[in-house]
Amino acid sequence: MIDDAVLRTTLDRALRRGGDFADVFVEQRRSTSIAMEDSRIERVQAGTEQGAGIRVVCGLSTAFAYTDELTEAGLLRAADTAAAAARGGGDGASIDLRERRVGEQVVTIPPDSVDMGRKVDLLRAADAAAREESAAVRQVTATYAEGIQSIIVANSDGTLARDRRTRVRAFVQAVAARGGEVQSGYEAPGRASGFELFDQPVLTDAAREAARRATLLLDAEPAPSGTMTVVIGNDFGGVLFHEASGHGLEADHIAKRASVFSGQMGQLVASPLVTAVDDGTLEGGWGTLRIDDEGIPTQRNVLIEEGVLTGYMFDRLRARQDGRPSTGNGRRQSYQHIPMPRMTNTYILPGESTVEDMIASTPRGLYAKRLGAGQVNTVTGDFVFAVTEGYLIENGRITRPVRGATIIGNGPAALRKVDMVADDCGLAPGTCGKEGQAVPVSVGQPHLRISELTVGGTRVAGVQL
Amino acid sequence: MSGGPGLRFAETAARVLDGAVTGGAADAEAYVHHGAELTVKAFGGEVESLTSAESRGIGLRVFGDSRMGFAYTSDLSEDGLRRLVDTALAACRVNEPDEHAGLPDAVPDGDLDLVAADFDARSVEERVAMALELERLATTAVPEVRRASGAVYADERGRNELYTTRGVAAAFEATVAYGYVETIAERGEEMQAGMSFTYGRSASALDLAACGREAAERAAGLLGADRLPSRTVPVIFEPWAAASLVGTLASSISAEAVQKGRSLLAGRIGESVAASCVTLVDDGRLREGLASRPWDAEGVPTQRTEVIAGGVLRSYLHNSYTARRDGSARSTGNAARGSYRSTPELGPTNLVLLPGTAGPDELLARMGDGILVTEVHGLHTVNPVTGEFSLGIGGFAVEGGVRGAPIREMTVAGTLLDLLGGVEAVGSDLRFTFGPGFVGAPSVLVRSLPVSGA
Repeated sequence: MIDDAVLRTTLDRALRRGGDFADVFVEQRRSTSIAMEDSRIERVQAGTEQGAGIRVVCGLSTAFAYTDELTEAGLLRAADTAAAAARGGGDGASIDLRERRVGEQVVTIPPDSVDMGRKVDLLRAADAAAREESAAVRQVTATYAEGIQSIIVANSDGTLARDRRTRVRAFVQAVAARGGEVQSGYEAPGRASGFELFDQPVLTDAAREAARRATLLLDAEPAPSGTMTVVIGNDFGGVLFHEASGHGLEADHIAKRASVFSGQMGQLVASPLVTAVDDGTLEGGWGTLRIDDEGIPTQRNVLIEEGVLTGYMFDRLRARQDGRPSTGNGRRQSYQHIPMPRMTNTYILPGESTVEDMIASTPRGLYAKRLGAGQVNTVTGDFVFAVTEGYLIENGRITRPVRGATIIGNGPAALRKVDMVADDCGLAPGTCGKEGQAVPVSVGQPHLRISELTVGGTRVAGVQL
Repeated sequence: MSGGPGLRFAETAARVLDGAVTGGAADAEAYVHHGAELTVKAFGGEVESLTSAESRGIGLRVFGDSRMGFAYTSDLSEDGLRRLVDTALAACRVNEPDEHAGLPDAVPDGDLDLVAADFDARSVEERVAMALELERLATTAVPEVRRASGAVYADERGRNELYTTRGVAAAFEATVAYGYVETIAERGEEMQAGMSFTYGRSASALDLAACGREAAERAAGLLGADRLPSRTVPVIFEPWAAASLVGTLASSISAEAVQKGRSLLAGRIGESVAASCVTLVDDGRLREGLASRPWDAEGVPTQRTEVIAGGVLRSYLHNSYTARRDGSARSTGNAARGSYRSTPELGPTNLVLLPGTAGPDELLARMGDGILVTEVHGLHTVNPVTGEFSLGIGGFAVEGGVRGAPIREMTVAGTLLDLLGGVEAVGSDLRFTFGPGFVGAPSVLVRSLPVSGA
């Protein structure tokens, strides 16, 4: 994309008015998406975004500029802008770049080598599978998406690193209707891999699952309200930990004392049944990277071990502030954004209970088999999540499906109330937003039980609406 | 068109349109966005980051044989543009024919004054100082708030240009500036967060003092918050909370959702869908509205559309595609693009629940006992098809018309139609927030809603 010599000149220019550190992030991203709705192709979009972001750091202050022009002139202009905005001393010593070689992602079938027709066929199969699953299905929306991101990171410490990240994903939504009732189900499998993901029937399986859930909800009754025991499903259920605790373990929130976990290192912050990790190295994980967006190899970081807080997630800036190495969590949405500490694949490790025991030992509660997206206040740890597939637990048995439930609570408080962790850990892909920047991540966990949580349903105890 | 700013990307667009026609397209449209941004983040009395950049990109739609193809790029080199044309034509070939696909008949006309004359008046240093000043104001307004998790000053000059093979060549610019701060209130071990923002078309329009004070008071006000028992009570939504809820109606009033059977308002035109004090308009030409524009994402002039008037559903929002598909409708100028990277979709501009005459205290007095909701969480969980919602809320208990103790970790539930029908009064205190487009609402008093807590 760009010559090493140009990168070196750019770094020299960026630091010419001083600064502790500078880096250049060069990116090219080619994306394609195809959407099918009502069994017809609705939208085909494809394109290229490319550019470079240049950062000059002085102490804890960052000056940043970016350009869409991947030419020497474009990069030098951005370097001048960043240098002009940078405040502070340092010298402009010449930089010797040394390439840090890391392994490449294994991609068997590059998605951009696959004919559009085959991608459309996948969507047709998904559409048909959802309709075949349930006669109540009225509409199916299925989308295929691929992205190939190529990056180069060069910095004033002399690091030069490259990576190519290929990801494929599909989204399917099924809408079921009966009488006046309308409900929908949604699934979105994805993997950091090539088109070989679809050698398995992942998309048709997802379509059936979405159709099954939409149909199930037609017969669901309004969820109850109040405080009760809640069993959270595995895989995407990990979004609860991600939102309500993971963000609070990012080193920028900690440094700013804007996290409930500030100053808690080494302390018991969760039930001793909880061990949680962030692992950027997992093969095929949606949040997997060989190097982060600051050129640092990713690693497996233990965040909480048997309930004790053992680690935060660092980028370069926060690691430097803390006098320690980065954990490989410096990520950015694109060349137009400044890196910050972000999660990769974050999950709770399996425990020793079984789902059967968990349900059987719950006299009354909610089984939140599938969660929707949520929202959290990182300062207080308060969260709210929709339950997109939920059931009542009565006398140790799963009884009736319920709909419209939300769970609401406080991250650290909920973590302390985890009283059972099952042995069935799984991961699911998601898109994480922070300060307006979206990055791909995985969330995950085994089934786990929280002894007490507030459930907000449309049915209030004692008052039938 | 007349009176608009000059055309900066005419040559690039011409090359792309020519390429499309040469490649077999019957019609083509090139949309270019160019933006110049400055963003300053302050933390702890220092500049945490300063971003200064310009960016631009182009989105190309091609039409032929009743099909549409789309591609985008930020690579404006000769190779990049060639690839753009080839990709759009390839997409056109795999797409399915759709008799309603095509360019709109309406063309850009007229301009709106969306550029502040003094936009460039303040130096970068002065604007950097504004972020620092906002943080200082927010952390000195009330005793419980001594720090912020971040304060931001940002501004942008954006330019949109549109070119078609039917001779359209139009451009407009808009400027925007805003300040944003999130504060942290502390008492003992407890922390609460509060935010506020201020906006305008240039730095001089921002009220940093009011913004800082409000963020601080919001955080401090929530200290000591607790859960109340579950019950069904009257609820007042403060303007920002009400506006967020109004924003969730955007998908239901879209003609696209209606045509695809995904709207809870489908088939209800002319019927009463809300209390009679509810009037909802979409106004793409509102001067103070940050989503204002002279023409929409496909060049159709914007307008003021009454969506709900006196509780009666009057109109859906249309782009040229949904209007053609409807047969008897006309585009309301609501084609919207997230960026040059997407095709024109359908979305609101400035969506406003019109205010009434009652002040906030009058509404509180009228409610008597109930709950005042100042923030709602989990809006994305509202089911757009059924309108069912169950949202996290923060706010205050109200007794005898007087604001009392703060509440947290509670939820409010219902359906959007019940909510609209249950509106007893709207306040006079209209405020705007960012939603889909730009959304405004006053305080809204709702007769009764189930609130869950302890």
